[in-house]
Amino acid sequence: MKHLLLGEDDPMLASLLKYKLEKAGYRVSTAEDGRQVKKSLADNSIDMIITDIMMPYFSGMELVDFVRNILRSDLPILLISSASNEENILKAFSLGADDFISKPVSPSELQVRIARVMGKIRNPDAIN
Amino acid sequence: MDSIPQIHTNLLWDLALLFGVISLAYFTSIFVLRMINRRKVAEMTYFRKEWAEAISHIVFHSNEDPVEEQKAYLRLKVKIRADLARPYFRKLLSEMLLDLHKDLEGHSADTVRQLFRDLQLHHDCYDKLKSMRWPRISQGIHELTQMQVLEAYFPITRFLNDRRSIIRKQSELAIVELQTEGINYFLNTTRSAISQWQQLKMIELLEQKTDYQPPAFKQWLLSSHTDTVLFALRLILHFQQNDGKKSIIELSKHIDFRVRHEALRCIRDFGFEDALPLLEKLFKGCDLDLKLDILDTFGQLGSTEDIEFLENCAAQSKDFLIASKALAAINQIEPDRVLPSVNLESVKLSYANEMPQWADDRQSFEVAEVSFYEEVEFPVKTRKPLKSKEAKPEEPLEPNFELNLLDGDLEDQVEEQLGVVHTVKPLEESSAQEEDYKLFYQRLDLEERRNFIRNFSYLGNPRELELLEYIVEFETDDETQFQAFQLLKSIQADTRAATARVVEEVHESEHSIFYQLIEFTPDNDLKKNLIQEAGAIGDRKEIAFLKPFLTNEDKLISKLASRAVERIEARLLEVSEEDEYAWRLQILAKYSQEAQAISAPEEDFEVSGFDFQFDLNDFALNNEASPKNGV
Repeated sequence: MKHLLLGEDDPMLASLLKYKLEKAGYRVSTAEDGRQVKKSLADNSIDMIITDIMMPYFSGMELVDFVRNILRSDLPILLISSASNEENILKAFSLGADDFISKPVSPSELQVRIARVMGKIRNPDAIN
Repeated sequence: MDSIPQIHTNLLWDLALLFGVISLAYFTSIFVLRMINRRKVAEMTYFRKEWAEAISHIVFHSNEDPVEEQKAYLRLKVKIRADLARPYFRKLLSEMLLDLHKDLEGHSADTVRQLFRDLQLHHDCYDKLKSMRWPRISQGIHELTQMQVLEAYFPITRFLNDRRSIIRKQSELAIVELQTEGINYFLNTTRSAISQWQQLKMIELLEQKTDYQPPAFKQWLLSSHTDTVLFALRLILHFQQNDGKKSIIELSKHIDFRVRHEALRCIRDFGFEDALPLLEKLFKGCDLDLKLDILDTFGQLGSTEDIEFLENCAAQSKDFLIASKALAAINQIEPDRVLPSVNLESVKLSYANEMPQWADDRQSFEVAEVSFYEEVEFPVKTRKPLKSKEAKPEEPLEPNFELNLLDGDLEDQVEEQLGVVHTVKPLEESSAQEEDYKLFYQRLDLEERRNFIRNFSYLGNPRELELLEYIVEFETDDETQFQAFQLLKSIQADTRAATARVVEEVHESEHSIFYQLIEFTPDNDLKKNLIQEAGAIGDRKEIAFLKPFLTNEDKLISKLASRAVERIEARLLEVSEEDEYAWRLQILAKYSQEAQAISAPEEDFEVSGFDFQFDLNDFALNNEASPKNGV
């Protein structure tokens, strides 16, 4: 079972997405802010990070930068944001995010995107 | 000692105590309020966390879930319904669902909306509508609209003409969003101004509706409410309903200029050409913006029949904007009918070595070009149609022996048509010096006159053309007259050829592809590149094109042009040498047994040590081409 780390400061939305993804067969851990996400990364069993860009203490962008440049990890990252302007999207991808979804979120769409990103990871040729 | 003021220390102590108590009360109240708020937030967070999973369960519930989950779902529903009796719970649950709805879309959002209605939470919103405070009413309308409570349509309609603008605007959007026929009701009943932003929002809402069939908005063109008419026109334009032609044209007479502008937009977009006569009549009474709008309409829809009106507008209007717009409209109808004529830089050029300096933009270049053709004085007379003397029998255009066969006027016209150059003035206007020459010639005897003509053929020049004409006309000796005539013809032909060469040289430059490219080139760097490219690939045309740049003010440009000309000339020379070389080989192959094996030159063909010049000369001396030997 794939282990997802969901960083979302709104507990209601986090719970809803967690419920949906668990129903889809993933194991989901949640984190309320950036610090918690960072802490949770110590757990090596995480297969993918899904995080909101606007998070307390540690933004989603900073998290991507941290994972790619400090941890030097290829862990797939999907960003969620209500600020879906072009600049944000381009910055997210340039930092190394694998996908981007804007709020309002369709949980079904999120599920498909996660599956797509995970599918790419399964295929080692698709990385880089 | 008496002047020292007495300090009431008791009073000071009392004041200090008072301020201390006030401060304590202030900080205590802040502390208590913060504690209460924090407790509320904590309670709410706890509540949200507690209920988040339950709501998620409800939102993503399906009948195919396992039995255990089905049972849990039912238990949750029962629990929620039991707790709904508590107002605090209702309020929190309502807020949770509204917040969650903002972050969701698709099926999940529909489910949240459905849950909101199922739990009867929209009744709390209805209560808000009854409030006396406008923020609560506005919030109630917003929540009902957000949760798509269709039954709220009628309660909200009563706020449509509310005096409080925020409630009114909120209700307008709600009415349009909640029901398909909401826009009809709105247009029928609104009596307030509709802001542009509000119009855009409503159009956006209509666009978002699935399978929306817009009503015929032309019915609201008859409304007495100006804003309704204006909005109806915008809706007509947006939904491209062009069946209200007559009404729209009539509205171009509306007293409100905003309506007129919108009607004109519709007229332009739908191509209602029938409106033009009316617009022509309305033109005088309009303000500047409307006049420009009308002229724009003429430009787009007008025909050549409207050009007269536009020309009158341009001529009569003192306003520069209107005049230029009218001229632009004329050009829109008939391109290039009007060309720029004011504020043009005068560019004088002599055809030999000057060309217009390339302007930095297209417009000014066109202007320079026009000036160029107008102001260059070529020694060629402009061709004019022959005057009404066409009834006269046509004389041969090429003058023969008897030049005087052509009578004065016709001769002039023929010469004009032929482009004959008169570098000397007519006889009757000739100078005293020329008259002296004639007198001198008349005094000569026959032998001297023959010598004079012979010398003239060596030393004469075009300036003496008039004298030659005189000799041809009045010489009695046939032989001398013939020689003079031959000489005259020869000089005239040379002059014509020289003139043609000059004209051709000026025009030849335009045949170059670089002429067109450089015409639209605004910056010097690109021009320099083009000049270099012309040198790299150009031929004779490019030499003509490059010549004007040789005298360019920019030294680098003139240097580049000079280098480019040298490159082209060197290449042309190479080409001609190659041609000659090929020709020699052809000749040799034909007449020389040894040369038969020689084919066309290849790249690695070595010519050193093989004197073609010698061979050819030798060959040419002995073998002249003639029909006998087949050349």
